[in-house]
Amino acid sequence: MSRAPLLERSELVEIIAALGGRDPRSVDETLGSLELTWLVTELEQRYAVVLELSEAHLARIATVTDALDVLNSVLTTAAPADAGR
Amino acid sequence: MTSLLSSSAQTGPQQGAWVDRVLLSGGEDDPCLRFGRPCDRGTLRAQVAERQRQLADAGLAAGGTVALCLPPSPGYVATLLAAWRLGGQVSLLDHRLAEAEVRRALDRLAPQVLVQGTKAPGGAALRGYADVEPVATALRRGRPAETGHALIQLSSGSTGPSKVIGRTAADLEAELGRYALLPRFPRRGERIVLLASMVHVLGLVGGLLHALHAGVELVLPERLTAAGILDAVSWDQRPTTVIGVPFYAELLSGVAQPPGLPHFARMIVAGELVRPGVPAAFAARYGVPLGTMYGMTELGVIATDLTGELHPAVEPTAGLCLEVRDGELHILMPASPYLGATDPARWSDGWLHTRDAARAQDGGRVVILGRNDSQVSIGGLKVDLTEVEHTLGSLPGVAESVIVFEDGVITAYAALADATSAEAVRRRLGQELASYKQPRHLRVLPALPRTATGKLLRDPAGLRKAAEAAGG
Repeated sequence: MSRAPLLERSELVEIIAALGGRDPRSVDETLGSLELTWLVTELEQRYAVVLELSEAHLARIATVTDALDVLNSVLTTAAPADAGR
Repeated sequence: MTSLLSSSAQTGPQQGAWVDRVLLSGGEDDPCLRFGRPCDRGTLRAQVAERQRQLADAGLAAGGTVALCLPPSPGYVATLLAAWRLGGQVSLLDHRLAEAEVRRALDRLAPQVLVQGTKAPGGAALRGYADVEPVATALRRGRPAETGHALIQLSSGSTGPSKVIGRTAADLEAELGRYALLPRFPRRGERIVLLASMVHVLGLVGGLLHALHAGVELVLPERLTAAGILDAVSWDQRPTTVIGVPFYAELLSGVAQPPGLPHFARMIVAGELVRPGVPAAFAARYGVPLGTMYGMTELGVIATDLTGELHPAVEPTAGLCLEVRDGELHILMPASPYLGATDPARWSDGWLHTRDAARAQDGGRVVILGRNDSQVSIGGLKVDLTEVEHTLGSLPGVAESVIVFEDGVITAYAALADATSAEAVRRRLGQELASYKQPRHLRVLPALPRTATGKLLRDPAGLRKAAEAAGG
């Protein structure tokens, strides 16, 4: 598996907008917990990894900008999805 | 109303023999729960006995009261059953409530014992369960039960404080009977993967209690992502039903290449309306139906479509009588489910007024169209906008406020006193309300727009325009 490239903000917003079939322009900066679950699921699929977010990670994510920061950092060290199964 | 509550008290659990008969019977080795590790009935019974000692030590006895504020966990299940087995009246508080909300609930309910766990981990949004140690504390000002209800739940009221809803053991047993009569609901030897909260009626009765009653293994996924849920489905060869809120159906429908899941029987969702297109997308992705259920805290499961073939209609469950009057769904219910004074707009003359708009169909089916009042659903959790508006309006420095719900999110519009910052208001609101109830946006205006007759404008488009004009 190749290492996941750094996520762009626009990609992240597009993924969030797909929840509920919204226009990316209507995505808010504040991120809800369901949107975060959606994001993690989508990124896990896209990069075939397991994103183990710690408590500390989650506590830092309140906005799209926070999510971009944290998820990019977690993606670089994420284990492949089939590891340990 | 007093006489009706008294009559329900007569059928209430003076002692908890019903727990063994209805929920805990079965072979020692029968699989029953899986929070990471499998737990059989013998182990569960031992855990319940241990929690019973803990509660008795804290002073709980038959006719006593206890409030549970625990995340989904083995400790929650054992403590709930233990409290009922002791003949206690159990109030369930969502562990996500803000501290101030828990305090208000305890003031109102006055339980004799409070059971809390170590703080739920911050990763709760992505975890299916927690591992906490329940701690029981005696509360000095607690009062014994005044009614025979086994279960007390709080539900958002459209005006004033939460409604207090009581259910007797007989009522819970009747609901379990309705589940048992649903031909496609999981039965003995099958599994339920539960994604819904075990504090609220769907996950509590349709998930936990039904599983214990019917001999179904209840599985809580370790992770609530699509991969985590599908993993939990794939573990085992027994027919498996996933129960949750519609968000998870959407989440699973988005999986591009799901693994082969030959034992996946169906998914059943409830708690809010399913978006058009989701049932078809789900069925196309997994080759199994997306069923829907309609229920209320007051009564439990009311009507279902477990095949996905009736969508958006649902069929009443056995023994329930539904009627659509003036566009609102009413359900025959001999006694008021509310403790204290009953609002006649919610229950009168033997009928529960659901406040859900509905359309009747031939053959007794109904189509639920949405709420008639200010209650909305955020990820399946009920939020009353009036409660949010009242809380915001009561904060120091908030001159006036309006809450609206648009595109699935709660937005607050407020005019603040000069010295008050939006940040300070947000912070205070965070202390007063659970995170799922908090407005996603707080838009500050110099003054809120009003209608020609001087009332606060509540139209979302008008408010948005005013906020844009004010640069908010």
